[in-house]
Amino acid sequence: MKRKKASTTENIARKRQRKSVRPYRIVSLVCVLLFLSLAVYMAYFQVAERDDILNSPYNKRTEQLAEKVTRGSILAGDGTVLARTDIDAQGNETRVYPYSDLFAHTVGYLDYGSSGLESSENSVLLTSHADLTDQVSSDIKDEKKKGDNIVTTLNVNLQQAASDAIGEHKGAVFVMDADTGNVLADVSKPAFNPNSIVQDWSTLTSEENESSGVFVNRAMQGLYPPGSTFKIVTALAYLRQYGTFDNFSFRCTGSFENSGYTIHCAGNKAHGEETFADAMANSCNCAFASMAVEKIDKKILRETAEELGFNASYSLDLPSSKSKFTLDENTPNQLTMQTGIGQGETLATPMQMCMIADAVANGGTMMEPNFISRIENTSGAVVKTINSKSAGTVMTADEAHQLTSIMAAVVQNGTASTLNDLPYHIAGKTGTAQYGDVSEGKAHSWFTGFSRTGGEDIVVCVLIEDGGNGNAPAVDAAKQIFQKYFAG
Amino acid sequence: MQEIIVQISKYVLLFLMALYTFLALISIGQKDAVKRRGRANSQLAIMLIFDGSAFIILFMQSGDVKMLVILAGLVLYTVLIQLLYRLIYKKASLAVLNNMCMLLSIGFVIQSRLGTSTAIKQLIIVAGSSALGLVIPVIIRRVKTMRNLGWIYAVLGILLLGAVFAFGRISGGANLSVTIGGVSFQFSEFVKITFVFFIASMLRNDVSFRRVVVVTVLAAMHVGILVLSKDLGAALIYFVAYIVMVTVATKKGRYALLGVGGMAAASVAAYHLFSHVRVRVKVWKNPFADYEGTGYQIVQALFGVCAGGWFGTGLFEGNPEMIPLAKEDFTYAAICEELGVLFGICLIFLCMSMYLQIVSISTKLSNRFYRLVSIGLGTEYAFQVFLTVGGTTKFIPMTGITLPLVSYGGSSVMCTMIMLAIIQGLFMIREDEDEEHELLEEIIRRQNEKERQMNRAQRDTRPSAGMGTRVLRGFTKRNTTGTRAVSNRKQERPVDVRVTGPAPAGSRKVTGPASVKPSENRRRDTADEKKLRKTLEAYQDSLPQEKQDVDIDDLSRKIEDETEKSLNY
Repeated sequence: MKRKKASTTENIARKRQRKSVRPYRIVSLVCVLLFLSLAVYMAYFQVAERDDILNSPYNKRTEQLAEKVTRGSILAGDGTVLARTDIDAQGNETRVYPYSDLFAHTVGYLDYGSSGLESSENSVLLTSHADLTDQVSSDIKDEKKKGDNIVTTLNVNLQQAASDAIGEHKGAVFVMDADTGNVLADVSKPAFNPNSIVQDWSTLTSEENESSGVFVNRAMQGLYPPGSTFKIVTALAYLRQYGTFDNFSFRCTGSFENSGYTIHCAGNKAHGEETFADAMANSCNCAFASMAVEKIDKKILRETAEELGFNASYSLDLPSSKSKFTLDENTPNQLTMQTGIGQGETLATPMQMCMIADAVANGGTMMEPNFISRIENTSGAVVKTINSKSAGTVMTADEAHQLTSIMAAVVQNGTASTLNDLPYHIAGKTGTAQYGDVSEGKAHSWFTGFSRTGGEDIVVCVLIEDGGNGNAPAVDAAKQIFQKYFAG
Repeated sequence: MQEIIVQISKYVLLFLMALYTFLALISIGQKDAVKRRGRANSQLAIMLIFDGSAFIILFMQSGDVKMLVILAGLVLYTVLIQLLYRLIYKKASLAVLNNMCMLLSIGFVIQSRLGTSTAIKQLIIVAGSSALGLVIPVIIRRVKTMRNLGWIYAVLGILLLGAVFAFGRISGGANLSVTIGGVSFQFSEFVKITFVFFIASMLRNDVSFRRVVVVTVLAAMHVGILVLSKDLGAALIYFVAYIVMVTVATKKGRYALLGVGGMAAASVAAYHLFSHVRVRVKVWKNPFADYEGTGYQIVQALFGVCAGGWFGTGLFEGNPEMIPLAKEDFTYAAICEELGVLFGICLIFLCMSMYLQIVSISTKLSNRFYRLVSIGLGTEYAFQVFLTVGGTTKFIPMTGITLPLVSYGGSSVMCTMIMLAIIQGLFMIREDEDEEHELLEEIIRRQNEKERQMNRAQRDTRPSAGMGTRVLRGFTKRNTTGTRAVSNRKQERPVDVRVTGPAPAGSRKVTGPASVKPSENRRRDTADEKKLRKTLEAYQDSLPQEKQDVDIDDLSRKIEDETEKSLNY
């Protein structure tokens, strides 16, 4: 444009125009913001939601990915192979699980659908971050690329010890690192052999096995009445309402009656005059039932239980069930008494009881169970490090300290005194949770607790189904696990 | 080896796309014509390299010779349209033309990847639309009555949409298109253009409350039929265009607030009234809830977007064919899968620069009708991009519309190209206006010159007032009858004042002493007069409604002053 000096007429027109242009500017600005929001959303979506979407069980794209990438391995924390893909001379791939049924529920299986980490980390295992030179060489050799490996937090020795500790019983063990929440052992019995899942499929899915829930990871998905292990929660609720355990006293006569319903202590034993620590150590049903029905505000008990993870769901590496707790103003006294001692309608996963003990061990901070420490490419270079996450601060440090002291009493002179001869301190809580028809007297055996060495401590939760009354097999199992861990 | 080339190519394509988009963004509002042209040439070069590398990869991966045929067709088309525009329409916007070609290129790459037959079909449609599009700028530029046909556009639009709705009802189901001779026309696409023309025409010189109500009723009829036809995406686009145009024309923010409020209320009402709206919202909230059914499409699209990651899988390395409607409504997901999310983000910015180019013309035009048309068409474009990209990625509920120029779809591509041809027409009008400005200056300058000469010649005689008035009357008459804009005005008086400025100057020229060749002078001057009048009309249209009269007064007085000054000289 060869416009000369702007004349007066034009100047006026310009001025006028500038004014009338304003609404156009505003409208375009709004549209530009719409475009920018789209761009920002795309980036956000990529960062925040990609993994969840990729690992969706509906995603058929990964199947196509498997044609180009050889599935990566799943390794224990020390690098021991838990799952790998072998390729024969013809190029046929076989998935091999060297420990057969030991990690069945954690690592999972691959044929007939998939489960465990094999399922949840499917896209990671089928993604290759191999070095460029490796990629080039596999391209030239026309080989498949090698998928990334997953390094888990699992400890093979501890898993073996935990498995041995429950033996042939049905049950579950969940062991976490107290500080980080890293899962060291995750055992569920009965188990299956993922190497022969195809051959065993018809047997495994037979009616008998189906009802025994062989594919269920009992540690995370099994819902059991928590029994006396729930007294940790009741104790915390009491502590929150009264501020201290010191002024508590109860005289146990072996049974406690309220509103025409009677609660008995184990074996009808009369514990006599008790402090709070005594009641906890003795696992005194009468004391806790009276507390629940007469001393603790129902709202406080419910809030405490929910803060400790009841009725909450977690998004973890493996699927988990939601632990259940109900209590409100209309709950009849009979049920409130049962609720106070972990019976009634209350149900918990071993993982949840482990997390509660972890919060106590950790000075109030509850860690989320974490299975994966890092993702490596095929030559061992770290692709991604996964940090454990906190599930929140669920109690104050003082509350955690006071709970630790009464849980220590359980080991020193209470129901878990068999742990007292270990060369380090343990704090915990036993449980004998009745289930099914009361007249049959069937009960699960529980233990949840933690070591107090001041070093690298662990939290252990053991559940043995139908572990019976009287002797506490869960405590014995826990002892073997602690011994194995601290033996090195 | 091939694998490596493909992997490298995806970074190359991303780089070219980013570079192109960068140039497109910095070209917005660029006033320097030389720089503008230089950038346009760079963009064209980038585009051709992009096409070449993408199609060579497509050919390598598929071994299909048709890929090379499409490449040849695409390059030929690009070169031809660029040449034609550069030769015939020198005043057209190369930035808009380039963006159009680039968006088409991206579209052809992803469509060829998904199936060569539809890509070839699209190429033919594009070529045909361009041929049609070449005439449009001329029509826009020459046919001035276009701006007075508001009612005709409105009735036409409602009839067309109504016919499709009725037809769909009779044949059962949600028919959005009518098939004529094997080609299916989606009328809601065409009516988008007449809809904008209708509002622009109705509001160009009357923004009284009554007029706004009339426009609202007619617009509501359009939108209502679309909602009933289950064409929610189009309904939303129409609604937003209506709000924007009314707000801009009236300059009243409360219309925008009312409009947005009305839209919210209408959305809630639609949610409760129509089950298909509820389904869309439900799917948006959790597409996995009904994975096998209503959520299937969007879930597949999301898998696609996520599968590629930032840089994409590379062409033919992903599985975009698993996305339903990957060529049409979900093209954006297919692009993200194989070319990467970063490429997708660049595409968003490219569409944004296209939009800004379109509306930039609206702030420069002086004719209100054309300004409203450009902001209306621009808004439709922008909102369509927003709806389809946002819907594909679950940012907002899916409304089922295409990504303009990129998606496969005859009516969509054709209408977008017509729309852009209209915009090109507006760019040329804008350049014409610039010339008129210069002409006006030139006339005034020449007249001043003559006044001076005349003054010198008639030093003793006093200038006759009567002469001026006589010619002035003639001007006034022509003006009042010539344009409705003037006669519609409530205040008639300033019309006279308006022309008093240039008129006496002109009159003296005509009636002045025959210094040199009077006949020749007269002829040239009447031609100048005409142009001058036209220019003034254009000014008058461009000025803010409520201040128009005053402005003209102002303007005239200034010109008068200038003339007087030169007379007193």
